[in-house]
Amino acid sequence: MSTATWNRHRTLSCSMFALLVAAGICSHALASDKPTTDPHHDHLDTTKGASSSKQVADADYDLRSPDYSDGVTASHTHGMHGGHRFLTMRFDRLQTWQQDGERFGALELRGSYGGDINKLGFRLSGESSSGERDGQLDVFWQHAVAAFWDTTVGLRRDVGNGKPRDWLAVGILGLAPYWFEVDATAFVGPTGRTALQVNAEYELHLTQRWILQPSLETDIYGQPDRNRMQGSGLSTIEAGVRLRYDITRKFGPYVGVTSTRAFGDTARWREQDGESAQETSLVAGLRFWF
Amino acid sequence: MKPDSAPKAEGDAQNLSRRRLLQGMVAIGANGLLPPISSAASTRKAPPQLTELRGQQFNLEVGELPVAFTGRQRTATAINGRVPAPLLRWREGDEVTIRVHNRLPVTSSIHWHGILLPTEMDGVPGLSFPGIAPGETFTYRFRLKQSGTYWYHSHSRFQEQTGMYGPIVIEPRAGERHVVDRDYVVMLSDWSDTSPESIFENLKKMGDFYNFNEPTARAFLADVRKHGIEAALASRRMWNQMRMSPTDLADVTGHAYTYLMNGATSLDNWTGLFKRGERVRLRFINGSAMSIFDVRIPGLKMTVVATDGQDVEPVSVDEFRIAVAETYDVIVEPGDDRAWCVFAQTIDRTGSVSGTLAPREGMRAEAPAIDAPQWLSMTDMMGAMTMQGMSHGGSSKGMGGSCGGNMGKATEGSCGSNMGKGMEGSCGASMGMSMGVTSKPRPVRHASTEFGPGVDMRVDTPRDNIDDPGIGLRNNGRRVLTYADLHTIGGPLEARDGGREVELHLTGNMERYMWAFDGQPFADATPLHLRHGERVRITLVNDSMMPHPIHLHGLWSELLAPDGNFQVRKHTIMVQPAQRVSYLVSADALGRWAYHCHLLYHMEAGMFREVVVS
Repeated sequence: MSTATWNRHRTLSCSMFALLVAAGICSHALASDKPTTDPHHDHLDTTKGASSSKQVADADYDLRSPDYSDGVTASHTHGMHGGHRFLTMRFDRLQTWQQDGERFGALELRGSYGGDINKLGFRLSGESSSGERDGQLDVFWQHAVAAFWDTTVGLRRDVGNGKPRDWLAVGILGLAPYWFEVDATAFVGPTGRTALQVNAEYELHLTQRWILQPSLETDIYGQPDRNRMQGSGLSTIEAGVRLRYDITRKFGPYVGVTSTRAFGDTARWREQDGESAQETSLVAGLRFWF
Repeated sequence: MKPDSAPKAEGDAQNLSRRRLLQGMVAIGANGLLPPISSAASTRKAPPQLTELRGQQFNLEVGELPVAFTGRQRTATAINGRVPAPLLRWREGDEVTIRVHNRLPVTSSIHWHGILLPTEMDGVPGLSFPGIAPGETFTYRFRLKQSGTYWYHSHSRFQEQTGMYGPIVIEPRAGERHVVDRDYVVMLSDWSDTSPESIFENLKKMGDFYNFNEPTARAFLADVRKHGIEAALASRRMWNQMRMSPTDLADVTGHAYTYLMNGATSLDNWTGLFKRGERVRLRFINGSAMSIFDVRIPGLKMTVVATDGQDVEPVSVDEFRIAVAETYDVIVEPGDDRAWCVFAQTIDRTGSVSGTLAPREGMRAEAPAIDAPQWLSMTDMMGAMTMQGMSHGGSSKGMGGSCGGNMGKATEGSCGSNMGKGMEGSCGASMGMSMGVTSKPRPVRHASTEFGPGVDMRVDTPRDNIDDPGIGLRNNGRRVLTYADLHTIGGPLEARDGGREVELHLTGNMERYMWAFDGQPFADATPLHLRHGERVRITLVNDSMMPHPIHLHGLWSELLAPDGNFQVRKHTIMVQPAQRVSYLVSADALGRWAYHCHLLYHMEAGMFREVVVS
């Protein structure tokens, strides 16, 4: 084994370790909702003011067992009431726009199959213009760990422009206080490449059916990848605002503005290739799910 | 037509012609000949009435039935070709035999709601019996140990939602306590053209799928103009922080439902006839899958004389809330020779159904406007904000701030019912503060299983105020019935106090649409064991922001007042948001019994326990 290969392997295992630790911390933090007898956990009571209903436990809870069976077992022939599994397909974005006379299209599709606690999920996102395609496919196991939070563990494949890349992925997905939808995923590739994606969205009900949806997508890379035009550090931020009209709960067209800004090497490389580091476009699209 | 396949109801000879008609209808259904739409439409002209079967022997057939409640043709699950199913008139002390034949392509069952009977006759598939397979007949046989107004319904999947429910009236051996001139059943229910499977799936994928009363930016701006930015922000802060909706009043709303009174829409106008000066008993039954109704007859006082089949000391009210599966008998005396509107609006104010009490056929009284929906109050979220609760939770600053200065003070010690007038809707700050609570709050004990993904809130200081009429009815200017008004005549079944206390919490996660006792869905839970002959005190704490009508099969639930005295005997007890109730149960019937929230989709999601008496 050459030193270089060994080094790469070491980097990989280090990164893997870091990822796993991060995942551990994540799920611990998310599950820390669990009461503890440790008096130092007082700070877990994050409810402000005098709220007497809690989403986070006090330290001094006197918990009881929910088991009142005295050892009597269930009849177990009563099959219903729980254990349902559903298939969901959600086209969050199916949009098109025009830039310098060229037509672009973008897709963001999320799918899942499973029950309340465990789901198999995937996310397909990508853009296309004349002859060029760029996209990312994530497949993951999604596990509910707290009232509003799920963890994800899975694989990501980058397709389209440049060399295909594969990644291991660990993330969290959920609803932050004040209704922010948050999705943060850390990635590590077989050669030790690392990346972080953080997405946040908000749905502001203007009326019952007119919905304003600001969004923010951030890409951060550990190593530069000239081939895929990804500079290290903060690579791109995409901010968008979409105005949607929900014709039904499941179907709504939207118009919006999105602005993508590249930073560092990403910006430099784009400019070298004759693109601009910042692009703003008017978009129109559909959001639907079933 | 195959007359031999039609049910035979043995009983009074004068019911013969009605039975003939009924047999005809069933035979049509049985042969798979769908009545043409025109005949469905023509039935809308005359107000539909319940069909009635009486006696001791009954034949019921479960089958599919084409219906068009909204004008669109759908398939209902019907008994003897009727929605609601026929009214069964029984007599206390009789032994009744009911042969139920299942003509559906799937398993079915009938549960006799509130009836004391042997466990194998209770009709819960998997607990009492395996269910009634397609093409099979199951014979129910039991002796009636009680009298009053009850109902029956399927306990299989979602058949109850699609029409499989009907009233039961059991005449007391000693004669009715209240002699009346007319006696009507008024069965309320909810119908949807969307299949219940789809409704459930929609809710699982989006908890607020049917809520079109969400807080909006527009309402916020209106609040800012009216109350100032600080108050407008404050009234929303806690909801947004907790990711809860203050308008989460009903999971399935008028956007999916058409509401029925005895199987009639408001348009169809169910009519009960009376002559001026007559005493009329109305036996209200809520046979809905998900809808809690507020009932009133504008201009008429209603004297409540029974609930869940049990006579209570008469109490005169303008309005009462009837949770799913509850029954209330009221007596009215319409003095004038005019039409009166029997009006039932849903708790979330997205729909209503009305019928008419009239001296003549063909009359219709104008229905009142539906009340404006109100935001849930802090009382509904946090329960009793006693001084102790405050210091426990932290500083009181947040509370004062979050009510935006619109805090109403408790009046007459009825905590929670203190929403100031004129604040409705605006700012949503229907702040209830139970300053009137003087006794030391009983500590609450959460279960260790209440801290998982299935639970989005827990109430540390629940309110014990059974005198709260509940969200939307507080201080509405009408005399509204509360559980504190209900006193069962004759007192409790036995004088014994509960030997031990079983505490269970009603939990949920609206975003994930998960519902359970103690955060444990039925599939993960062990049974609740009661020793035969013991009298046990069950305490329910509602750790959610929705009311849950909790029904214990086979055994009575004897509700206690906050001071521990006996209040009322019921089969279904509605626990309001952030409320705690206690009731005594005499475990005098051996076997396996169902214990569940009677909101159908909550039950299906897992808010269900098995109770074993052994």
